[in-house]
Amino acid sequence: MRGKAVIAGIGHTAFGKQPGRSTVSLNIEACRNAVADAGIEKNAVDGLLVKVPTSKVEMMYGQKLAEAMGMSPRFGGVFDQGGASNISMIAIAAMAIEAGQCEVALVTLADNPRTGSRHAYEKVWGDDADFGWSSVVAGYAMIARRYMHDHGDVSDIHAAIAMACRKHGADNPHAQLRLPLTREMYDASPWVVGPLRRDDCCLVSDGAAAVVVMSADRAKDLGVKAPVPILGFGQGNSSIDVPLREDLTETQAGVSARTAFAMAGLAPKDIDVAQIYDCFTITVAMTLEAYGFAPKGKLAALVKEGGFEVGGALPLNTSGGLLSETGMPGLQLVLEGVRQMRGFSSNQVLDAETCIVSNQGGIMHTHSTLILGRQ
Amino acid sequence: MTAAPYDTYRAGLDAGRLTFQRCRACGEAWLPPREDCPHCWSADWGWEEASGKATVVSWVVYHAAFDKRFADRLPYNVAIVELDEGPRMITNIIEIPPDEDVIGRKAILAFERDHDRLLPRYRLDPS
Ligand SMILES: [Zn+2]
Repeated sequence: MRGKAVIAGIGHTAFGKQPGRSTVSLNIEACRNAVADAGIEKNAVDGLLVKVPTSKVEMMYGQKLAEAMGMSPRFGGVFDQGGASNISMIAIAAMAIEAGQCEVALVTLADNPRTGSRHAYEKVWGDDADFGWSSVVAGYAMIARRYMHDHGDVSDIHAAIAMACRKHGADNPHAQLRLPLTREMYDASPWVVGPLRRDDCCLVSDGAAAVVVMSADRAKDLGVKAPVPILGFGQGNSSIDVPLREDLTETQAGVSARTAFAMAGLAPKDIDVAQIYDCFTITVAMTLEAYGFAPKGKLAALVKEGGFEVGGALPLNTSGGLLSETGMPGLQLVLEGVRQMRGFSSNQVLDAETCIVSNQGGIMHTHSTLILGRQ
Repeated sequence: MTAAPYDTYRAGLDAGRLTFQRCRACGEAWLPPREDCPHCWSADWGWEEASGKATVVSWVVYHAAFDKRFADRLPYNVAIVELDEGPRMITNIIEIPPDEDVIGRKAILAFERDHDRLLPRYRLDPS
């Protein structure tokens, strides 16, 4: 399947506050822009896959969105894997197209936790609420504390990740937070749930993003200007909740990446630029190690001399990621991967020919990986 | 009609007893309460009382009150402990010495009345 499917178009809304806008309307704006970017007509689309909005889970959301778009797609619905859903849905679309189930699919995501409800991110955890166990950030903090116990102080690595994302976001005119971060600012950043600081945590954002997936052949027929080949994809689900995970610092991210690398016929050394899901800095550190960019606990070598910034050993999150561009859960990273492969990022990595993108959901419960190439 | 596993667990806590489930088919022990063995899927299991001995797996310190009931308790800790019998649970450590990494430390069950119920918390074992 390597290279058989392409991302033919990308679209997004403004990021930040979108008061009064429903997720349906945000999804439609992103889809409108993605279809226009692909240079195709609405009636060419016969697949519609959408991530359920985390802030307000609704039954049959995929059908509700299709109705609002005046569509009766051959293939469509919702996939529920949290932030990993985006890449998983791109993979499902590519496989559905290969299997003749549809020809052109829209994969879309919208949410409005900034002006809508943040309940999903600040919720209390069931029967354990009486211990004060609440919020998504605390789950990641549990993992981060254990990681630091096992592998030593990681504040240099966390700071380098946050600083790279914020530097890249500052160069992105669409980014929600365009304030570069210095090491002094990072060290002075207040604790939210220790050992995680405010600047270790992603933004909270309204907005939407969408991509158009089709076969490389169909893209040629339709005269798509800048199709980006999908070289590989994979997923892995830890599923087990954080307190019960035998090793808190192990996830299925490596399984996901190995599946994607095998499909693409590539290895970590072949990757030119990375868009790594950065809901929290610890997530980036653990993902890079699981992907094989550094042995476990040995990321420090990559961090030296701006290794995560454009020009460094592994430029990452070149549009600013969740820490700086938008807190939207993940599809914006795929959009930036597409821009890098087209050669039109606001932080373009010179001659980049491969980009790896990670998505994940829950508290490292789910993971998905996408490898993009250059046409 | 038998009681739901969580209700039985909670009734134990209310009586000052920490219990967990063990599978009669494969011997797996677990918390939180559930209806089937997560290892072999057997529905044949029984209750055992915990010894109260545990080890700290990880812990965090809240500096923000996502749950408003805790606004006047900041900063407070939440921890994961592993019982000597195997199951894991969310709890609070009563007094963590400042600047000390307590992962791997032994801890002992100490019930405290809070939020109108008996809560299974832990004290670090001084030995
Ligand atoms: Zn069993």
